[in-house]
Amino acid sequence: MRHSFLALWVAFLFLFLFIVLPLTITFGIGDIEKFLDVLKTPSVLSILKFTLIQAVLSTFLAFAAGLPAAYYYSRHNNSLSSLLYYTTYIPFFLPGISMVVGFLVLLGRYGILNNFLSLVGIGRKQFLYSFSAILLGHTFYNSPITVRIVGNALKNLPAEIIEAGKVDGASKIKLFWSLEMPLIVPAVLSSLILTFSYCFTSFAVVLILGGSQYATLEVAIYMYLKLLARPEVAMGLALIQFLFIFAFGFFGTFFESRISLPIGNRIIYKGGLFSSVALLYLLFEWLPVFSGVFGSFYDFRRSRFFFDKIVNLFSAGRVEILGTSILNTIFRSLRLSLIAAFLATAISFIISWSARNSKFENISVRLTSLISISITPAILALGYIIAYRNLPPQMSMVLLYTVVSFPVVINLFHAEMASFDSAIIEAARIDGARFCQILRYIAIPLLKPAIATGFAITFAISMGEFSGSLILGSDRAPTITVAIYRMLSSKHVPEARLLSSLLVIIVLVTIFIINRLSIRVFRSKI
Amino acid sequence: MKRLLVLLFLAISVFLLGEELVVYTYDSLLPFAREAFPLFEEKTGVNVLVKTFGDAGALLAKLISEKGKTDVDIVIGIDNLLAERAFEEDLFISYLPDNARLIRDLNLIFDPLWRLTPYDYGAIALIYDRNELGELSLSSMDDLTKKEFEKSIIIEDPRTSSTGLAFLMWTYALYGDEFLDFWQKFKKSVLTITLGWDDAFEKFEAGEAPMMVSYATDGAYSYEYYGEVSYGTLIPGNIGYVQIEGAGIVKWSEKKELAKEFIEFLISPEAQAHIPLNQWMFPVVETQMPESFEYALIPKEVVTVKSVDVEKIINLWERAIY
Repeated sequence: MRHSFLALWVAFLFLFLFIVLPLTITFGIGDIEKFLDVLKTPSVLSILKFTLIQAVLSTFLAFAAGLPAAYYYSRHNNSLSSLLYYTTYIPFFLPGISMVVGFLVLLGRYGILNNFLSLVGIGRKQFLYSFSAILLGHTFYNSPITVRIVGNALKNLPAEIIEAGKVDGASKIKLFWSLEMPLIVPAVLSSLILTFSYCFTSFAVVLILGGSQYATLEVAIYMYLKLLARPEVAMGLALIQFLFIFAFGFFGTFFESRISLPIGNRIIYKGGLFSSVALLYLLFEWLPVFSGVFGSFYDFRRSRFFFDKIVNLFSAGRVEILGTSILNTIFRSLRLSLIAAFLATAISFIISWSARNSKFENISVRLTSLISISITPAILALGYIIAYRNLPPQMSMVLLYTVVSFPVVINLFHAEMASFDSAIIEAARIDGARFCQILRYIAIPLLKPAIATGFAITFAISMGEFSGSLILGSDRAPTITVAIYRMLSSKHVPEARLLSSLLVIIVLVTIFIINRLSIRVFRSKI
Repeated sequence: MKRLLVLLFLAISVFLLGEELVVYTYDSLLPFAREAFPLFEEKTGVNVLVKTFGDAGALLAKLISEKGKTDVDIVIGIDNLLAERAFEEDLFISYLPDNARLIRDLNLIFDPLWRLTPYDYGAIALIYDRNELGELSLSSMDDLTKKEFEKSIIIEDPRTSSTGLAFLMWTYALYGDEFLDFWQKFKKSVLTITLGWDDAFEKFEAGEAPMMVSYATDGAYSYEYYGEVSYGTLIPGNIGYVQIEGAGIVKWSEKKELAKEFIEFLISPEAQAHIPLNQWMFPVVETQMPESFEYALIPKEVVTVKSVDVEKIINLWERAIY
């Protein structure tokens, strides 16, 4: 029990120092009257309504698209399933600009699909900038969450239970709906809550694929913060968003029941009907990524390559609009993201480990993750600038990345630890092992793959973070995303695209290496 | 030890003798600051410390939150729209610089009380793909609502982009209270509303739409960097809207005399000469313009808005769009 208090303390300190304190100092109590006036305007209400409708629809679609892939991933051990595993990183590493290019190359007016249509004589069509484009974008971005969370939970179901069902003569589909799904309800709810929260606060996806005529609450927050210089109103709107998500998530925890399952063998099928569905899903997720990379050295509109820009980008040395070289920028991004990855992983691990199996677990995990998910990076960045005035920009950026990636990592640990066999810990405790010893010799080695995954995810999120980096680091410490933005804003479109592909490749390679390493370590321990 | 003493002496003398001006501004002013401010430092021996805070909105929000508390002396980058908000908060002292007599057009002086001194301005324009639309010339903004432009213009969101806001204000300045009628019709011509200028330009470059809202100096920029102007620039009816940016002396500054000297410098021809190629705006005083600015579009007539409730106009616009 004592350790669950540690979790509460760490969670409390984390929330207080990184979120509550800076925001309170920055905005104080604010002007309640002005804030209420904003609430009364019809547009805010209609925006709120739209935000809600699109989030519900998107969550449903993302879940429906991700579920078959999650099932395939959990029940197969082949190259297709490991590719599905890497797919789950897509929402975290693909920065907005890379996504724009990817979707333009695929679905744009001069994109692959339209080129095909015009070749067969149908003519060019407009696929983007509509409500369905938003749903498509959200499904693309959020269904990997289902694959990750639901897939992992299914994977952890012991083979013995399913075998027992099989003996009773149930088909795979019947088994899935009547046995496997009920057992993983907590994971399903976790994934739905997380997906809904991301869709509700979605900003870039809605605006890039749909256009801001489909604006969510975030747009209004942005307006009051950046164009009208009314941070107190922005804060008020952020508070509504925050309360909504928080209430929603808190409500969700009531339905999450704790089911402890024995640890057993993993069940693995061969082949199956789902292979083609999984393959289709894989194409859906990876095509925009590869198209984006391709679009960074091929001008698809004028049908020509532009390799000369690669040389330009790296040979220039100091780039005027950045005030430093591209290489410096890349190294800075790597350095900051690595530190943030370490911090977020360590804090999430301590919270979720200490609170494990205690009544505080749901509270501290849910509380910290919901609070960090409901605060936008831009508002947080402004808070740091004002409240922690003397903090070097690079340090503020590390803090911001830690907060932003926190919900994902803590949810990951939460899911992993739910299925952790505590009998070993109890045995060690009886033998007189202390907390630190248990952590060092049992927990960390056994949870190494989860830790490595958490690390990789934080790294990916940090590398791709944009709005906070722009406010905090801008001129003094530009990161890769800031550099992409600067290049694009100064009409260096090919260079910006190249840099964004480079970002995607760096993150992919790092994640691949981390996972390879952690799985090898894991195997050698067993 | 000797070297250490010398260093210590230098550090102390800089601390005691060297004066420093603290300037708050937005990020993209930096190239201009790097080029021009050393001239002021050389002349006066004063060190100019530039601190940037994202864009103009974040800059003003930061200043408001620090009111009276920090050692900032000068703020550069509050435009004619944000100015109202700044005046509401009473952040600047009034100061009429001597060099104000050099300002080329009285319309540029957007604050009669001289709390903000204009230092550059630029017009909003539409850029278009010549290959697709040919040479265009439109007699008025209404022409943009014609059927031939259906779903073919990319605009920026006035709630998230200063370019978008300027475009909205352009229509307001032209149509007054009837601006919503224009938007009702114009809506059909809009393909999409983007978050910012960069996102819009990415889509324009990819050929998603043949026209977008941008700046009148785009041609000059293209000529300077690419040696060619690949798209056309357009100001319907030749009546342009200009955004004017100003600088002010912060009320609680303890170096007001020095700050006044800096404002004089900012609108002196020697500093203004660095405006065009760094800011891609027009200087407020006559200077030798770079060759590429021959490709910048200069509106025959200029409209702008003064003391307007921006928030209210955006709210009305939202009603027309949703």
